[in-house]
Amino acid sequence: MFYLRYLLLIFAVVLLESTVAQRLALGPVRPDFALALVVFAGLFGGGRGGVIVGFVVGLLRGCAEPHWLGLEALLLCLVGFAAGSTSPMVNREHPVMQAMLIGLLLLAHDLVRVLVAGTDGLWRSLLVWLSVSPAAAIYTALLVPLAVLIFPRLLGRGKTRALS
Amino acid sequence: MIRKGPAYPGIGDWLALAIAGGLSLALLFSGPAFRAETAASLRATVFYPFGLVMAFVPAPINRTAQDHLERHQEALCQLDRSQWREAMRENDRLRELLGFAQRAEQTLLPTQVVGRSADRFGEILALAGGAKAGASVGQPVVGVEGLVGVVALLEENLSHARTLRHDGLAISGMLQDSRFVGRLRWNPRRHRLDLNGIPLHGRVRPGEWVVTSGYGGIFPRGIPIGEVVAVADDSTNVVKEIGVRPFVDLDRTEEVFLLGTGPAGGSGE
Repeated sequence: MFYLRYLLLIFAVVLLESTVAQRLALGPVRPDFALALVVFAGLFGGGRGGVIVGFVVGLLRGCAEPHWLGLEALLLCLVGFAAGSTSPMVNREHPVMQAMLIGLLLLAHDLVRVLVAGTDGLWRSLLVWLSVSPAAAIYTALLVPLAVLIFPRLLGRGKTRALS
Repeated sequence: MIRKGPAYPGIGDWLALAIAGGLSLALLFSGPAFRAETAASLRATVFYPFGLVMAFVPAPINRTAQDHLERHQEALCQLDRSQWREAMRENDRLRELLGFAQRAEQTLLPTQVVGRSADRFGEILALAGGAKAGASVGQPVVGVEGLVGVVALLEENLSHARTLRHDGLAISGMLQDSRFVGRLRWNPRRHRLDLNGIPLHGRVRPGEWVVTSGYGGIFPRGIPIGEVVAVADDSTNVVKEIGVRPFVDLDRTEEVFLLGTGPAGGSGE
């Protein structure tokens, strides 16, 4: 049931990213729904759930840039695994904890990404990371847990059962 | 917020990570052709339901054949105008010379944007038209307003183009009036292109056009890229810091053209 639900959520996130994500961008800052989904999968599905969802999402994302097909799958696997590993230690239902995890894992994901895929030397890659990632991390960390908190209430449900 | 519990993942989690990580690494270190084939297969299978859903989303503009033709002609006119301006300046400088080599004719191959990556570090457009349609790696991609990017990877029926907003794309650009040449690169923080390498004594005004310089052999000279929106001396007082806003609205690009050289033969000519 968990994987079926997340399969639908992956479908929804891919649709969201290809349609309205650009409209939610604040200048160059875009929310990363896919990474947030992987973090939620790790939190509520454990390490295995996070890894599997991360792999599928990463593979789908990698199709946009076949140069690096596999890199995003690997990174999102690790993100899912990290989220799953921290899940038993933290209160995964708490929005602040979710936001912190999303922000931190997005920063870590981006750092590895620019170091591996950066084309113009270490310093410039780090500069790019510094100029892009913190804002995206904050935006995603604020937007996604808030949406997860608010939407079920708007739909008349008290808890975020859709993700757990 | 912190609670007690088992701190480490179980064997099943490690096993899943090992399998998924191994598969990812195998993909990453496989050949580019295999990666391209895998991506194409995934798009044809996994993305099929997305295509079905998106088919029900009403398009904002009814894209008829007439629209395509008009856009194509507009792009040709724009390119001609730009080349004409270049030629006028060139003619002034080289009036005395005889036997100046004639430029190769340029062709435009119309194609549609069928996908777009949502990557923070570099925008990639998937274009309908690959090796079969005559596209090649390194081919410039232009829109009606100006330069869009360059083809970076090719499949049989699809090509992937790095746009001006890709971190890995550096372009030799020239200020059209003052004739200084510098290197253009996307600045994600300021959401514009930075033109580097223009000396302090260069008189650059906001609004001046930046076009491709033709250096490097990838882009022909004179394709409009954008206009200068900010001019300042950099902190080291060695060169100018110039911000350039691209002419092309990359968020709303739907049809583009692959620019080729040689005898006119592209569809729609």
